[in-house]
Formats: sequence, C-alpha cells, structure tokens
Amino acid sequence: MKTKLILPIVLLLFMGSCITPDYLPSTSTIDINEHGSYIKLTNKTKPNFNGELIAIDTTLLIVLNEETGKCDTAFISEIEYFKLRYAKPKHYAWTIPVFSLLTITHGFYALYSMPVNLIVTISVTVSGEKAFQYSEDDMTYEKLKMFARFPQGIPPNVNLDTLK
Amino acid sequence: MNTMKNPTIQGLLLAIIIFGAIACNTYFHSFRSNYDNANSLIHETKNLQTKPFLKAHLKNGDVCILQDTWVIDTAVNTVSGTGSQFDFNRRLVYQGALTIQIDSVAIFETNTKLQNTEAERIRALSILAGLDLGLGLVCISNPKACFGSCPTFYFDERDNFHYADAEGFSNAISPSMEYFDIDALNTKTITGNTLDLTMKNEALETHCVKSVNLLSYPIQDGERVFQSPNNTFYLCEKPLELVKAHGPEGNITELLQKEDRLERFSLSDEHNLSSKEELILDFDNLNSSKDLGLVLNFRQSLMTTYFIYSAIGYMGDQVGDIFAKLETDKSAIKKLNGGLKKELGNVDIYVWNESTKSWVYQDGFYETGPIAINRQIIPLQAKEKSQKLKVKLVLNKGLWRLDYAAIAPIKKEVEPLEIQPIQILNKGKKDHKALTAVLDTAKHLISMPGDEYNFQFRFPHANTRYELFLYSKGYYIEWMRESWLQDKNLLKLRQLLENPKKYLRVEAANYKRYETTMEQQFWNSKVDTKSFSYYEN
Repeated sequence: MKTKLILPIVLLLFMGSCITPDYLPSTSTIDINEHGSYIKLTNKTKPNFNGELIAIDTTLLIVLNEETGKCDTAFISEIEYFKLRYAKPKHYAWTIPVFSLLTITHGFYALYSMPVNLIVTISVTVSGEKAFQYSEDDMTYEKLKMFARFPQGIPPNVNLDTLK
Repeated sequence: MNTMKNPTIQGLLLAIIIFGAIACNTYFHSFRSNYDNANSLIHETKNLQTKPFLKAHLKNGDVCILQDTWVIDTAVNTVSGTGSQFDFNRRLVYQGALTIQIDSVAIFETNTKLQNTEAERIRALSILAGLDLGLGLVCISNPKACFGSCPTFYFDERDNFHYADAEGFSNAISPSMEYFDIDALNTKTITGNTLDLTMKNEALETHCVKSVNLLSYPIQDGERVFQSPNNTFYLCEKPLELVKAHGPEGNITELLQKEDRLERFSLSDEHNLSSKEELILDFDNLNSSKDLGLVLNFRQSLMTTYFIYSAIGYMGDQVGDIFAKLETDKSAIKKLNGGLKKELGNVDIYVWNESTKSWVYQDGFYETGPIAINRQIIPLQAKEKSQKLKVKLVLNKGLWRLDYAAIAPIKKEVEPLEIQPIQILNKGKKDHKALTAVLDTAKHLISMPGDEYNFQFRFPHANTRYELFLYSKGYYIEWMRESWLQDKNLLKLRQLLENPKKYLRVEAANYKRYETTMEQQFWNSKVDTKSFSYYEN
C-alpha cells in the first residue's frame, strides 16, 4: 500500500513545485528581464514570506510579498535562510511516469530497470527543479543585491506602498 | 567480483553515474555583473567579442535595457542604444532609441547568456531512453527472454523469479493440457505448525490454478526424500558427491559437485537444435549396500520457452481458432508431446557395466521450465555392487542447465502426506473465494499478471523437519503480444508439429541469434550471492 502511494505523492510534490511566478525569465531571456528574482524567506521569528526581491541594504531585505501584493521587510539578522530563484526551471516530472511505464516492455528485467529509471528520472526532476536557485550557502547578502529589482537600494522617490 | 555481476548493483551504478552527471550541473552567480560607474563597465567589457545586453538601473528606480549595440560617449557622458525603459513598477514607458545620462544611472548590469543549461539532464534522459528502448526492442523482438511463464512459488515472498522455489505446470498452455506437477521444495524445519508459500503471476498470462497442495514427509538428520520422474518418492541417506565430471568442454566437476546454483550448461548447435552431447560422471567410495539413485538438480534453458512463444507467434491472428481446435482435437496435443518434445528428449541416464563393457540405459529426467531448479532421483539398476560408478548423461545441447549430481543410497519408497491450504491471503487479507476455488476440484483460482497469493498450510506436528514438495495443477493462457501477429506462419507451425526434426534444423540459425544475446543476458542477471544448504534455506 505504502509503495503504491509513493509515486503519486512524489508526482504531486513535483507538480506543486512547478508553479513559478510569471515575472521570472527563462534562461534565454535572463539578460532582458526587468524584475527582481523570486525569493523565499524563512525567518527566525516572523512568519515566512516569499515574492519578488525588491532591494537589500546592510540590515534590511525588502520583498514584494506574493500573497499580499505589499512589500514586506525582514532584518537580515532575523533571516534563518533564503532560497532565490532567478530563472524558470524546466520541468521533468512527466519523465517519472513515462519512463516507468516504458519498463513494462522489459518483462523480468523491469525488476531492475524500473528502480534505475525511477532513480534517474526523480534525480533529473529534482535537479531540474533545483536549477537556477541560490541559497545562503551559495552567496552573501552583498552579492544577493544583484538579483533585486533595485540593486542600488530603494530609490529615494519610490514609496514602498506604491510598488506593484 | 561477484558483487559487480549483480544486476541490481550494476543498475544502481549506472543510475549513480547518470545522477552524477546531472549533479555536476551547477551555475554560479558570475553570469551577472554590476558596475557602479561607466569606467569599470568600459574596462570590463572592452575585450568582449560580443557585447552583452546592458541594464542601466536609474537613480529614480527606472531600468533601461539596451540591446548589444549600446555605446558610451565619454565626451558627452551618455550611454545610448536601442532598447526599452521601464518605470519603478516595471511598466514599459518607452521603446526605441535611448540616450541615458550616465549621471542618472545608479548601477549598470550585464548578464552572460546561460547556455546549455539542460544539457546534462537531457543527456542523462537520452542515455536512459536509449537503454530503455534498446532493452524494450530486444524484449519485443524476443519476448521469450523477458517474459516468464507459469506460476512461480516462493517461501520468501520478497524473492524474485531468480529464487523461485518452484514453478507450476509449465507445459499446460491451454485448458485441455491441464496437468499436475510436483516440484521438490527442499527440506524445512516447521517450528510452529504452519508454513506460508507465495504464488506469483510474473508474466503476461492468465493462470488458472486448480490445486496447490504440499506433499511432506518427516525426516531425520542426514535423510532426504527425492522424487523420481514418475513421482515415486524415495527416502534416502545423505547423497554422496561425485569425484569427477567431464563434458565436451573439459572438466566440469566443480560445477556439478555442490548445490550452489553454479550451473553447467552449453550453447545449442548452430546447425541442428536437437544435437546431443554427453557428460560422464564418476563416483567413488560407494560403500552402501543399499540400492543407489542418481540425484540431479536441473532446469531448462529458455529453448522450450522460445518454441512455445514461436508456436503462438506462428498462429498469428488465428491463435484463438487454433487453441479452440486444440481443445477438441487431442491428436494435436499428442503431436506436440510426441513430436518436438520427443525430438528434444530427456536427460537420459546410462550406467557403465564393467563386465559387458557397455552403457546400460536407466531412465530419463524431464521437466519443462527455465525458472525453478528441479531436484529428482532416478534409481539405478546396477546389477553389481561396486565401490565405483560411472554414469553417462545424454542431453540435448543448449536445452539443460545442471546444478548438481550425486548418488543417494535409497532406504525405501515412501508416501508423503498431502496437505491442503487452510487459508489464502490476497494483499494481506483473507481470500475465502480463492481458498474455495483451490479446494473445489471443479473450480479454478484465476490469477492475473502481478497477482500474489499467500497460501498457508498447517502441519500435523510442530518442530519437525520435513522434506517438502509442491503439488500444483492447472493451466495458463499466454497473452498474445501485438508484435507476434506479424510472425504468423502456419506452414512453419505445421513443420514444428509434424516435422520437428526438420524444424529444429531450419530454426537453428534464428534460435542461435536469440540465444547469444538474450539467453546470456537473462542468466547473467542471476543473483548468485545467495546460497542454500541441503537442510535449511
């Protein structure tokens, strides 16, 4: 019973992770994208939030919250970790059922080929979903600025409440 | 060395290599650069053959994105080019020729194009797809090698077909060919008084199972019970191993001396599939005054499976009509058994008679099926009692796989106790219908591909060591594969049935092609690290 549930659960997880914001560029349009990258913040005490990275200064990080449509701020010292996505990933979840079904033609050998297919297709899917992402392990907050809508910081004439 | 031959390990290694190729795929943030001033931008981009697109983040929050034709005019302190300008909310405010005062720019940004980002993943999937399709094509073109036949039985339900303890009624490919089959299951100590046995359908077939019973006989230390080809059971003393064995290839003693699943087999004759070969076995120190029997552990190669599948393929779209005819015309079945089966022959046993200087025929072993190993005995009719014994096996080349040969002193003929199942579990739940079906001689338990039934048997005594045999009765219906329809050849079918001698010569080249690829791959995938002893699994 448990083993039968694994595949649908894995697929559902991957389907869930397929949703990426429209403003994220594909890898081929990364140099002409006008928006900041998509960031997910896990905070130490405040609720977690995610959205477009607007700006970073020495102490604060500003995000246009995807859910509320308003800007939220987080003190860098209060951030436990972040995940930044700078381009839309390619989705390979379809390969899991398709390749697994292919092994039906292998008869006895499916005993071996199906696990190999599952390992490879799940790995490819996970690696595809995790591509174009950074976390605090990959870069400093100083470098992270480059992926904000305003890498120079919030312009003086811009009111955060008016940002969309 | 053996570990590397394990197909599971090989598969995992392949997966790790492919996964490794994917995991190495990492991109660093160096594709993006920011410049606080025009000078550093000019300096960093002056040697580039192709200019990158330029993003100018203005101090008022706007961003201008210029195509790769932008230029910086240091005299008038501007950057100009063709592009788009977006306001701080990233609404497009202008598109076309742009001239931007450098003083109004907070930060310049360039990006290196990300290229071949998916190459590793696509490569991994391509390799996998290639392997899958290759194996798929081989299996579709030679289904005999990839798809099994008949129900398989396991003491340990986690085992796969390589460790099947028995396979039932392999010859019964239609209702009228239904028969009972008895397979040796080795010895087992029943500590409680129940025993579980799992029956699996691991092939594209419908299995119609009439009976599944255990035959058991309690034994003492050192005793064994062996079954003869005509299903007579003999209580024997511990078998005596052979001292020497040789075949056309040379010394094969090590292959036949132990029950270790290291099997002796040969490839078929490329000109005639019914060519025979001889093996000579020598035994010594036969001190027993009792009658002796030759014990042989054997199973078939995939040759007979190939013939069954070929025959069905030759029937093409008339398979239903022909099988219907088989049901009403018993002569066709007689033709099958008397023709091809007779031509392929048994593993015939001869004993050397020193006084007449001649080989004396004893009997022959025969059991269809390439999966489970059969353990049988043939009582020898040696007139003279001697310390030494020379035995000759005459067998069809490429048809048999032999694991073990020994001489067992026979104590007496015995009658094992037949035990019916008391309960059947289907997916862990009691299946009363299944139990009723196998207990009622007028009914069949229908098992479809992927089905597993766990049979529970109750023994009269606990903590007793038993020699066990499986009694199974039924038949199975092979599922027609679409690809087989193209093989329709009624003339060839007629030849197979009526002139098997010629068929086995004509078909030799086709079988040889199949044998050298799939036969080898199939058996190479055998997991040979698991060993078993005479007395306990």
